[in-house]
Amino acid sequence: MSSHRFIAIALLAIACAGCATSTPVAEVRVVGKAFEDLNGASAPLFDDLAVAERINGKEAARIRVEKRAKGEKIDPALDRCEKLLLAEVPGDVKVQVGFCGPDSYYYSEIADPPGTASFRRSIAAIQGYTNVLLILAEGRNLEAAQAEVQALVGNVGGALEIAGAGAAGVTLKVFTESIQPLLDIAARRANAKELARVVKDVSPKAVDVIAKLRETAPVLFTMLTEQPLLRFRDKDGGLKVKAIAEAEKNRIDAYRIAVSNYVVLLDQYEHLLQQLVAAYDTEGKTLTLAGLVEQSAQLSAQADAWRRTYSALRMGF
Amino acid sequence: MSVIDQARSEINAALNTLARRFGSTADEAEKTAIGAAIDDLNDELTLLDQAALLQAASSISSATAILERAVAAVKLGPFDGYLAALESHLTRLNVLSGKAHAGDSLESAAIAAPPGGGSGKKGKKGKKGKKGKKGKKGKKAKKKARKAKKSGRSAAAVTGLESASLEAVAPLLLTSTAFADLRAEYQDCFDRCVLKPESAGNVAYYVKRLRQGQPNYQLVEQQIKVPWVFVGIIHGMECGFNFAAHLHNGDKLTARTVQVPKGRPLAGEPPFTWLESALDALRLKKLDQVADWTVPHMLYLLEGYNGFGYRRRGLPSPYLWSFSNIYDKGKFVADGRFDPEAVSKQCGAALMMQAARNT
Repeated sequence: MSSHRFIAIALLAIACAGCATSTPVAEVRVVGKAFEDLNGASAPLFDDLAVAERINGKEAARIRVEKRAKGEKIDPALDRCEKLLLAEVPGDVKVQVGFCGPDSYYYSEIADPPGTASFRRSIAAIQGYTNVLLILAEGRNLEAAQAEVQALVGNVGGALEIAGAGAAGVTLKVFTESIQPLLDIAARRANAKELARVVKDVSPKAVDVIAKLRETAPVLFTMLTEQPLLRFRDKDGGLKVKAIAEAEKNRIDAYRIAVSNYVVLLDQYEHLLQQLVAAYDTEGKTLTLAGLVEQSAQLSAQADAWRRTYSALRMGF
Repeated sequence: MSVIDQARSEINAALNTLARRFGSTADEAEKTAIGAAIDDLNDELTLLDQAALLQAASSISSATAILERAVAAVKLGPFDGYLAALESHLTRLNVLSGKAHAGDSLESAAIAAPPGGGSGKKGKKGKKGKKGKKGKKGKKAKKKARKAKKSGRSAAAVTGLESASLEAVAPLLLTSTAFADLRAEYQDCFDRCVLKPESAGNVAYYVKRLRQGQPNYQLVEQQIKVPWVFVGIIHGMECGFNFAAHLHNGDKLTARTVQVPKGRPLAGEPPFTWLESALDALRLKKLDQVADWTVPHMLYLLEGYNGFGYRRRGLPSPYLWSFSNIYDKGKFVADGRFDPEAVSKQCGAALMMQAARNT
């Protein structure tokens, strides 16, 4: 190792240290906490969605086959397994003949039906994004990398010590010992830079997903309330018995609150994320941690309220 | 509003109309007909709800896939070009340290090639091992060994190693080179061998390197059944754990060996992988034909790898026992000359074996 190269590396390291940006660890943690609240509160909603979608999927399959048996027309866009038929015996007992592959996820109980799976995947993607923010901000990726470098430096140092490589050995040992802090500085710099890039470039994509989740909330509500609505105006249920109609009305109203809370939590998370982006966009301006924390606390309180609503739903009011 | 939404809206409106009529009519026939219509419209709604949810799922999926791709592309490894360059300096230094360390390896103490792995001649440049011959000397040694056996004298018994004292002891070993004569002695020494505290750091370093190379050594073991620990010890003792060098003699892998054994590996074209070279080196020593991989036999093979010159003097080989209470001083230096005051600076193979078993 020439002394020129060593000096060059040292100068580069000093330069890097000078231009290193501080990482907004606390701010990113606030966003991470906000996501945890959103995720924790939306999980039971998706559990209910899975149940509702499964019932709907099986019903839809039965309806299609019965329509086909009666010779009624089915919209091709709504038809899934056109070769499926119905076998029946006198006395109103009917059974589907054949197996519809695309409907498997409605009948199976070991996986989510397709719509629910898609909603959960979106939340998981946002979680993945939030985790990346946290890993970069907290420098957890650096710990592993630094451990590798330390092992390497340790090996070289140990070998030189044992080998007793004389004056050359001392120089090389000094070099290896000097490299560790240089790597730390440069790695932190690279990390901070990547975090800034991720916040600016990837956050809009996360916001897009949040927007889609918000847009599709009405469909979510429809699916969740389909069964209560059917009972509400069933000719043998709500249409004839007022108590049934009122129970189902209450159930539908509770779902309206739950889905509304879900939309509000999505809005809040998006808002926090956009504030983080804005803070990075405003060069030299310190992130307003206090503001973020306040909003995060509000989000947590809303998530708690939602959990209470859900408890009420599950208890049957 | 999408077509599905419009249809749902219209059906819901129709259902409300039918529900009102259902409640007001007294005609049972009409009630039945309205009930049937409500059932049919509810069926339509069920189909539309399924379609709407799948459509929503599809629109969410597209945005989700974009986010997933972006997250997957996030660079979590902090080593960009500059850091990678620094890391490569370290890697090269590591190789260099291996070379420096290998330079401290013991000179050959060869007197005869042991069966299945004894080294007759060291391949290292400037290290001319004395190649002994089996014959009168060998017979003499066997005779001596038998005598020692008859008298019931083991190395440990002679030296009082039972106490596992850290005091340096130089057991008077059997001079035989026949494994049958030496099995008990190797086991005895191995059981009683204790690391000198001042060498603990050095041994830890060797074991660390051994563990680092373990995946490579295990590849060798998978192919020719030579235990990975044995391969690693040879690699450390002969090449300073340098994976850029031939296991035969430390020559560069970029060409066939130029020192003894020259021109290896015979098959294939350079540059060779470390694995190719190691397999060739161990096959050349016929180690792939060895079936007995007990501790005594491994020690026997390792001692033979360096040579039985110490044993001829009744001395413990530093190749096996350096840094332990079994070995104190005395080693072969250049040109096959034995210096009774010289001390080995290389960790003994037996200690590496012990430490590897215990970690």
